[in-house]
Amino acid sequence: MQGDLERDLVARCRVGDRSAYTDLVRAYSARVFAICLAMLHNQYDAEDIAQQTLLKGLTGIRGLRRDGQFGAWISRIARNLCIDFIRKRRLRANVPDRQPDLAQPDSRDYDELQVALAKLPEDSRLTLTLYYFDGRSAKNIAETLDISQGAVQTRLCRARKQLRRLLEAQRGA
Amino acid sequence: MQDDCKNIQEQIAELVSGVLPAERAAELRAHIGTCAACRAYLEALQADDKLLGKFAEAMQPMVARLENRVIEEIGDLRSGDSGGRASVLVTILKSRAAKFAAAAVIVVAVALMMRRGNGRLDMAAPAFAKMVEAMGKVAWVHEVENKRTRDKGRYEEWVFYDYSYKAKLVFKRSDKGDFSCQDYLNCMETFYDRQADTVVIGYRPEYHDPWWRPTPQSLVEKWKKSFEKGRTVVTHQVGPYEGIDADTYCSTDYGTTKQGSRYVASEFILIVDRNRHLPLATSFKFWMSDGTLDTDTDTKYSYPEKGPNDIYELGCPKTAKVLDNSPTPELLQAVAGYRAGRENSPRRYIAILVTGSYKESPESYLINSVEVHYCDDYLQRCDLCFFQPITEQEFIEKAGSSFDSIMKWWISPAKAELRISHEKVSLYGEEYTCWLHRSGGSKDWVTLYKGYSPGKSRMGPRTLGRYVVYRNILSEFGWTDGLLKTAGSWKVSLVEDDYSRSNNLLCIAVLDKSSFAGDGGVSQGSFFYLNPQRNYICQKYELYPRSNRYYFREVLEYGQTDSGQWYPRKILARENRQDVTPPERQEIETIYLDADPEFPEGIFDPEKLPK
Repeated sequence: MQGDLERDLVARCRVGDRSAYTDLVRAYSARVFAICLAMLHNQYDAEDIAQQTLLKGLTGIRGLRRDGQFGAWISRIARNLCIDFIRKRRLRANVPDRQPDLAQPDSRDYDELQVALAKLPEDSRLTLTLYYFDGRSAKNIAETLDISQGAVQTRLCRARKQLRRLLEAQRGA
Repeated sequence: MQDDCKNIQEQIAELVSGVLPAERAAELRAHIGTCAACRAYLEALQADDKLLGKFAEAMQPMVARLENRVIEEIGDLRSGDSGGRASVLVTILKSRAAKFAAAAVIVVAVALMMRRGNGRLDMAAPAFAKMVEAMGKVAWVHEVENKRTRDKGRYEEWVFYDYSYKAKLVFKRSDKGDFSCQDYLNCMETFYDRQADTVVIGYRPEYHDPWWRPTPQSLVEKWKKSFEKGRTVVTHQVGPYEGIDADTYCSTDYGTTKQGSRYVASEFILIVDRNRHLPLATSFKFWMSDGTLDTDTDTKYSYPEKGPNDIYELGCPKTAKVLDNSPTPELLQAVAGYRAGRENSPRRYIAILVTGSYKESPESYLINSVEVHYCDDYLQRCDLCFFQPITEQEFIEKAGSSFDSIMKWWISPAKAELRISHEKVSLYGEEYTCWLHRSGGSKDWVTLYKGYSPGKSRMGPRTLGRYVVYRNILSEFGWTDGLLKTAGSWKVSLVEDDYSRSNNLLCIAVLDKSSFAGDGGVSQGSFFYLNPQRNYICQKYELYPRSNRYYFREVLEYGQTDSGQWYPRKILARENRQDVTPPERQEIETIYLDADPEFPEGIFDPEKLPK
C-alpha cells in the first residue's frame, strides 16, 4: 500500500472511521495470515489469530505512533499473539468445526510442503511464507521483519535451499 | 557431482530468486545447459517455487474469509446490506447512479462540498429506540431480501423473538433451494444439504445464549451504523410507502474512501411505519470507484402472526433423506448435570496457574510461567509472568506449594529474582478492556490497548477472540464447548472402551461421520471421559484431528473447594505431533485456588494498572 494512502487511512481510523480500517484489513490480511500460518503451522489457528490481530489493530490504532508504519506494527502484533498462542495452546476447547466450504489445500503435495515448512527454522519459514502470500515483495518482508531488503534476499535463498533439502529427504524416506 | 557443481548449486537459489548479477546469471545458465545435475536442481527449485505459489493461492479463500470475518466484526459498510425501496426516492437514486457511472470524480468533489454542515445521526436517532421497542412486541418478523449484484438472489428469513427480545427461532429459505432452521432455545439446527439431498439435524450447544443470537437491537444497530459514518449526509422525508404513512431516512456517504480505494459512495434507505414504528423496507447500494454498482440490495419487512413450523413448510423436499445427528435423550440427561455444574461454578475467586513442560521424561520438567487470575464475575484480571525455566524444586523453594505461600511470594520483591522474559496484565470488565505487557530486553510497559467500550458492544471483550477473553477458569478447564456439538457431519454418542470401563467413567465420542469413510479409521474426533462422581470436570479428553498430524490428550486431577466445588487441580496435557521432533511434549498446569477471596483494593481499576 502506498505510504500516503496508508497514512491517510490510519489518520482516519484514529478518529473513529471504521470504514478506513476495512481498507487496511484488505491490504494487510494476507500478510497477517502468512505470519500466523508460518508461526502456528495450522491454517485454522492461523485464521483465528489473524482475526484477533486485525481486531486488536483496530482497537489499538490510537497507540500507533507513526502513521506510515502500520504494516510493521500490525505484523508485530501478529507475532506477539502467535507467541502467546503457542505458549498457551490449549486444544481442549476446539473440537474442529470446519465445513468443507473452502478449497482445502490438503493434497499430498501440500501436506509434504507443510511438513517441510514446519521443519524450517522460524526466520526461513516466515520469509518464505511472507514472500508467497504477500505479493512476492522483498520490501514488504523487510518492513514486516524489520530487516534490510538485502537480508531478506539472503534469507530467501537460504530458505529455498533448506526447503529443497527437506523435501528431498522426505521424498527419499 | 563435481565440486564446481556444488558451488554452482549454492547459487542456483539466487538465480531463482532473481538476485544474481546478470553476468553471473549468464555464466550459470551456460553451465546448467551442459550439466544434467545442475539442471535437475534448478528444475526442482522452480517446481518448489511453483508449488509454494499454488499453496499460497489455495489459501486465498481462507484469507478472503478472514477479511470478511474481520470486516463483518468491525461493522463494515456492507454489513448494513439489506434493502427495500422508497418509491419517492427511486428517481433520485437512478439519477445518482447515472452520475456515478459518468463521472465519479465530479460526484466525489460535489459530495465533499455537501458533507459540510449537514446533520448526521441526530435526525434519525429517535426512530431507532422506538423501532426496537416495536419489534420486541411483534410475534414474527418476516424479511425478504433481493440481491441484484454479485451473489444475486432472493433470501427469506422468519424470526421469532422471545420475551427477552432475543431470537428463539430463525427459519431461512433461498431461491437456490436452501432451507434451514436455527432453534436457539433448544440448541438445535436443521438444514437441507442440497448436494446430498439430505436434511441434517444437529445439536449446537453454542446456541445457548450466544452473543450473535439476533435481537431487534442487533438488526437496528446494523442500520444505525449507516447513519453514523463520518462523512454521512442524512435526509428525512415523510410520505406514503405502499399506502402506509412512513418516515424515510436516507443516508448518503460520498466519501467512503478516497481515490485508489474500492468504494467511493454508498446509500442506505430506511423506511419506517410512522404509526407502528416498525421498519417496512431498507435499500442498500455501493458504488465502485469506476462508477459501477457493486452492491444493490432491497429488503422488505412484514410481521405475520404465525411463522413456519418446520422447513418442509417452506418447500424443503419431503423426499430428502434425514440424517439425525442430535444426541439421544439418555446422552443429554447424562451431560445435563455436568453442564449445570459448569454454569454454576463459582464466579468469584483467585486462581494461580503454575505452568511447565517436559519433552522427554518427567525428570526434565521445568516450570516457566505463573498466572494469577482474579475473577469477580465480569470483572476479571490476569497477571502473567513468563520466566526462564526453573525446576519444580527451585520453584517450591522460592514460592512454596500452597495458595497462600505462592500469593505471598507473588506480591513480594523476591519474585524479581526470576529472570522474567515477559509480563502481562489483562483486565476485562463490562465497560473496559486493557492489555499491558512488557517483554525481554525492554523493561518499559507498553500499552497495547486501553480502551473503553460502551457496555457489551460488539467490540467488547466477548467478541475479541475465542481464546483469550473472559476466561472463567473454573468453568473453562476440564470442559469444552465442543462437547455434544453435532451440527453438520458430527455425530455424538455414548460409547464404552477399556478406559471408561476400568475407571467407571462415561465416555462420549464426538466424531466426524466422514471419519468413517475410506479405511474405516477415526481421523477426526474427540473423546470425553466424564466422572459421574464429579459435577463438571472431565476425567480425560483426547483429540484426534484431521490427518493425524497431532494427537492431544489431557488428564485431570481434582481439587475441591470448601464449599464442595470440584475444580481441576492439576492438568497433564500431552501433544504429540508427528511432524515435529521430538515427537512428544507434555505440559502440566497446577491450579491453586481461593474460591471466596478478598480482592486487593483497586485490582479491577484500569486507572491503577502498573505504570
